[in-house]
Amino acid sequence: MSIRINLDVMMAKRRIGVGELAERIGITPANLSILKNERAKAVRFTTLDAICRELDCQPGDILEWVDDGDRQ
Amino acid sequence: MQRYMNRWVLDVLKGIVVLIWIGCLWGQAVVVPTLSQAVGDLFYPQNQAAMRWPYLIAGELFLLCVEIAFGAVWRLLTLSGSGRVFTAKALTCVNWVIGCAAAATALTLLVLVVFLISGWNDPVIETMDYYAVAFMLGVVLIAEIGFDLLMTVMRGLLRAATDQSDELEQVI
Repeated sequence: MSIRINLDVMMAKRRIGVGELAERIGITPANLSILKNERAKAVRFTTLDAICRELDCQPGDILEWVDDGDRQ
Repeated sequence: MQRYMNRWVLDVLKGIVVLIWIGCLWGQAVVVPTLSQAVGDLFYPQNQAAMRWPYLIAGELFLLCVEIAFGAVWRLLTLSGSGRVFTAKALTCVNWVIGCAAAATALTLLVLVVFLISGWNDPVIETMDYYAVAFMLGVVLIAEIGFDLLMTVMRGLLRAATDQSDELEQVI
């Protein structure tokens, strides 16, 4: 899969940890870790909305498509 | 899961399952031996001792199938109440119900065949509505086959719901 998640970069910029961010956006720390480590298969728009609101950023700051040549 | 399942409905159902179990035990202890004896006496005066055995064994086994099936139903009711019904455990319970229903259908078929063959040339049975009894057994058999197929459809629905539930679990 070639969607890169740059969540840790944004979290470092805003100086907020996994536990606190998870509580603010309303998901479990485990699920946030799954998302951060690029192991998530699907994300709700409501979750993305909450992340962008809490980190004061755009979806493009968190999500990035990379062409890694993995054509199917 | 709480908004889909009514606690009261599940509890009443479990109470009914207990009543069914009691009924089956009583059937196995009292009703089946008495009825099979009566069938033997009534239909086969010449060779009564032998002819009650197929009905006795089939009747006892049939009620055993019902008891096991309702054990699986009890488990399903518990799982439904706790919201763990979209799991492999629930599918196993449904498989048990279908297996017991299939066995019960086979027993009914056996009884029907035994009755058809053994009553064909029996003069007593000829006067005792041979075709009526055969017809009733046939109707019961068709109803059982219908139940088996219906349970198979329900099993398909449970599998679909379980797969969809698993997929939705993965959405962050």
